[in-house]
Amino acid sequence: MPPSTAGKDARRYVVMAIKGAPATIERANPLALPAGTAILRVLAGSAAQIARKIGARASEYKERQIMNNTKRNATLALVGLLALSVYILACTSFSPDDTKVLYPAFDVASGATGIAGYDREARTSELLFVPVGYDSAETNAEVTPAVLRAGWLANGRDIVIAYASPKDDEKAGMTVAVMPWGARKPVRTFHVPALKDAGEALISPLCIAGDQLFLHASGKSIARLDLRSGALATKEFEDAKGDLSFYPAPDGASVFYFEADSPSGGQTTIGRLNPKGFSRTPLMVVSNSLKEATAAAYDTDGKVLALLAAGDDKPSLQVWRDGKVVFSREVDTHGKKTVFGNAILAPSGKAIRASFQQASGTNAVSYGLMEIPFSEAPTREVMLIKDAPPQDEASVSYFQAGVSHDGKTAALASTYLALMEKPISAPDCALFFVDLSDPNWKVTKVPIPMPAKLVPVLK
Amino acid sequence: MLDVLYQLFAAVCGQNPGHTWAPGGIWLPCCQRCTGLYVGAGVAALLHVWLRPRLTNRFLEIHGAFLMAMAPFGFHWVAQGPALRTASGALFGFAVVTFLWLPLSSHFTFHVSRPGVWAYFLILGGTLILLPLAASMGGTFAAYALSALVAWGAAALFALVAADVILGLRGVLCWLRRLPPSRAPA
Repeated sequence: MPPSTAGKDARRYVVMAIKGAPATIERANPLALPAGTAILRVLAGSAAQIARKIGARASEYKERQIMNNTKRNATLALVGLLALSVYILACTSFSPDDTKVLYPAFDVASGATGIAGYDREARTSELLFVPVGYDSAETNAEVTPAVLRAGWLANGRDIVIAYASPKDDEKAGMTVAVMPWGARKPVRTFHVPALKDAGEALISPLCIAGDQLFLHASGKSIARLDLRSGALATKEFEDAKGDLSFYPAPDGASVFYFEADSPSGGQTTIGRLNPKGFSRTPLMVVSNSLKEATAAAYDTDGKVLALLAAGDDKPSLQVWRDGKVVFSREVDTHGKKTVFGNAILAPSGKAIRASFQQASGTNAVSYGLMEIPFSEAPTREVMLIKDAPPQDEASVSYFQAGVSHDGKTAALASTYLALMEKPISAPDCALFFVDLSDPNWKVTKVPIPMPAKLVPVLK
Repeated sequence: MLDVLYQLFAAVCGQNPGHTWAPGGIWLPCCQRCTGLYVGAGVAALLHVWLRPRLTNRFLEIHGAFLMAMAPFGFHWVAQGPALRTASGALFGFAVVTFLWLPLSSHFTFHVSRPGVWAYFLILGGTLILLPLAASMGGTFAAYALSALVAWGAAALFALVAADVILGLRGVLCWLRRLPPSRAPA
């Protein structure tokens, strides 16, 4: 009996079937073969079919898994990309000077006025700069009073502090210091001589455009100080019809000028000054002259101008757009005499916010912040200092508001009101924060320590 | 050179001076959190190319947690100082790079081992500790080195985003080609 080859045949057929030779098996006629071999062939064919199905399922599963992995990877990559985008957008929304606030404060040791920085996150204050001068060369001479104004350079890292004597002394000029915030860098000081009414000029915000500071030198001339190199250039606008005044543009890159059409006033041209070449580009003409007691606010493009004038009866608001009055209203102050310090356009462009002084009875004044909508909607106000000693109306110029870039917080310091002939009380000497996003305008008060001896200097 | 970096990063970072490291008196080109993000991203990109850690579900879950950790820190729900700001940025950077790397990872052959993953997490931990230390205690050299790392991290992130976008567009094109041709209007 020949040795059985059934086992070998079966293995061969299974191997052939798996390797892909189904045609041979299908063509084979089981009846023409010995019974054992035929059964083996049929079994091998079935096994091959099962193996093919398993293989197909496996490759299908693998393909599906690859597809699922690809989908998962793509989804997760998209999540990563979105998270990165959200992060970048969130980071740029924090503007450089919104967390730190510069304000005038006292050096308790010397009694001199300086500039302090308040960290809104850490809720701490730090005195940054104190200039101390003396009235004469005598020993034990009194500390010279100084008016200081501080601002940020465009890089948000360097502080510019300008200070001058409040006395009308043309020779004294103004000193400008540039100091870094929190870094080891030299502090530079520049002295700019021959500036008319230097102390009075510091009532307005510093006119910083890029790395340059613009100072009103006299009626029709301007001085430009390069805060890096110290280069000083002056320019007299001989073609100007009347006196010029200069204001910083909200973008921090250019300068706005207000030009009266004659020395006596009449029309006022508002335009943009090229910081490099001093060329003037008129933006709009306001047909009425600006009174002294007018607070002006403007937008970045210089197309919208809001003028808030303190009238004898009721203050009035005029909104100009492209040289035309587009809105005007009276401001209801409940019959109380009200004057305004400075005004700032709300980010929405639909309201103006201004610091004010209001008569409180016959022998007191109050100070606060007001929002006046560009509609007939009622005004909104918060009193920050109540029943202070009566002051001249001009004192409100020393109580000005600053608003954060997101427009959500206003800051006001009453430091200079403590230097008036009739100073405010020590509890009222503070840095006030008004949360404008809060429905109730929540006020946070940061006390400003007062020195034992104060020299009244401002009139 | 640093001036150029300041200008470039001004587009993507607030550069808040109160929240920016200044080792040796030199300001870094971005804030503390962004410094963490870009340095973390740069280191993570190098580690993914060098160590090729296996991107298992567990690995991805951990990085998902790193990504989500940005919410409490970013929204200031958690009190934090400079070191924590930097560390949260670094973790976020590692997570973002891992997720952006995922679609590209399938184009590489992996010969990974567990030590690769351990080394990855060891270096991640080292970055979290050394980065704030170098930024707070380092001098001029640290300032330049960190600025270079920040620039590298930003470049790596940009490259990853660009590669992912290209892959995504290619995928969309392939998908469109598989669609049956639309009938011409009668």
